[in-house]
Amino acid sequence: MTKTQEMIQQNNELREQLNTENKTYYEEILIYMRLRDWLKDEEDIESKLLEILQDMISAQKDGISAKEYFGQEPKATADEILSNVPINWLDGLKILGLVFGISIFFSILSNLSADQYKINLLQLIVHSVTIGAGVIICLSILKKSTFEKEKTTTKLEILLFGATFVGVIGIFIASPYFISEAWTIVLPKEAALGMITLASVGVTWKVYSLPKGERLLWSGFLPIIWLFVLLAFLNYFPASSDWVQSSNGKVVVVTGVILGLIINYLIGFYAIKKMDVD
Amino acid sequence: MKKTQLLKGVLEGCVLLIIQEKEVYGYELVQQLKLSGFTDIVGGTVYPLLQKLEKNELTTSVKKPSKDGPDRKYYQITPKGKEYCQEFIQNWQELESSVHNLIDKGGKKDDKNAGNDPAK
Repeated sequence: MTKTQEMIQQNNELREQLNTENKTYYEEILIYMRLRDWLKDEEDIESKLLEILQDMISAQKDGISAKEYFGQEPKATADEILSNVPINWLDGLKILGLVFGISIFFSILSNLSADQYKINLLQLIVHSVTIGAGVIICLSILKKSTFEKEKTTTKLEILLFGATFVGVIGIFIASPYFISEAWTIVLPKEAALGMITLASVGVTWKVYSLPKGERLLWSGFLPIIWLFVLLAFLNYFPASSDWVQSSNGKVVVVTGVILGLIINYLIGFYAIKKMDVD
Repeated sequence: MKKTQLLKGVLEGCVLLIIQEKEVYGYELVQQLKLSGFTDIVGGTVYPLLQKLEKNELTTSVKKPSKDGPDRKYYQITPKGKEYCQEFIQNWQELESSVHNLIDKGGKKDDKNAGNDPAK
């Protein structure tokens, strides 16, 4: 478990010691600071959050409320604290790499039944950037809505979310028309198969290195990913690819995917329940 | 001039003086400040200040085990911080005596002008 994950877990446990009022006050600060620009150092932020929590608990023991202790300007204070947190370029790059990797993965998977695996590099970059931008926009909207006096979601926010969603989908749909074929590279089937196998192994390994609760949550995705990898392999070998393309094959494939999704959902549900109880 | 403005320039030095005396964690520091007479101080003011002090290497922090749960962050003074304290004490004393003189002088003048119309 990384230091950051450990601190998050400690935070979850410790938070239970706050009374209802103080907990609500603190959790607003918690959410706000966690929705930070994804470039800021996460470990530093979690460390500060834990420190503030511990101090608030001490204050509570002395009969001082969280608001009295921390002050009447939690948002302004949180902003000031965040401004002093250094930017972690390495983590930011890791996240960007992850988004890029996922885009490539799905791009290859969606070409399962094609004869060749074509990847349009520019399209890939555009997709990754669009997803990244979309996520950042959504997080900013969420961040602004924390600390709002009105707890109801305003129409404006819903509009913005919707616009972002439409924008992302729009770019995805429109991009093939605007991006020239010149950027396409053809991957030999073997290379593509190798890549997705490697990626699946990597994901499996990553999931198993997660702390118990999270591991259970994400492990639901593994069967689906491996199912797709299996399909890609079946499609590769002439003997089995005929079967996959046949109507029987397709029925089995669809059933398999639906089963996989149901199992994933159930596992996820069970995992969340378990996390609440712990 | 509002108290907060006066306080701004002085708070860093005061925090360092406390830390120099004894290593403390965040809540302890706020309590000490309150005990010293800074009754309006809140945690919100202290945290960004502690960040800046650490950034400027005037303090350093260590995690120490606590009986109530996870390790707690304690702030300690650095040699650079000790220097800063010395300078602060000196500057403050000089400043204090200058201001004191002005207040005294003004006080004496008021006594002399007692009864006269200050507008004239």
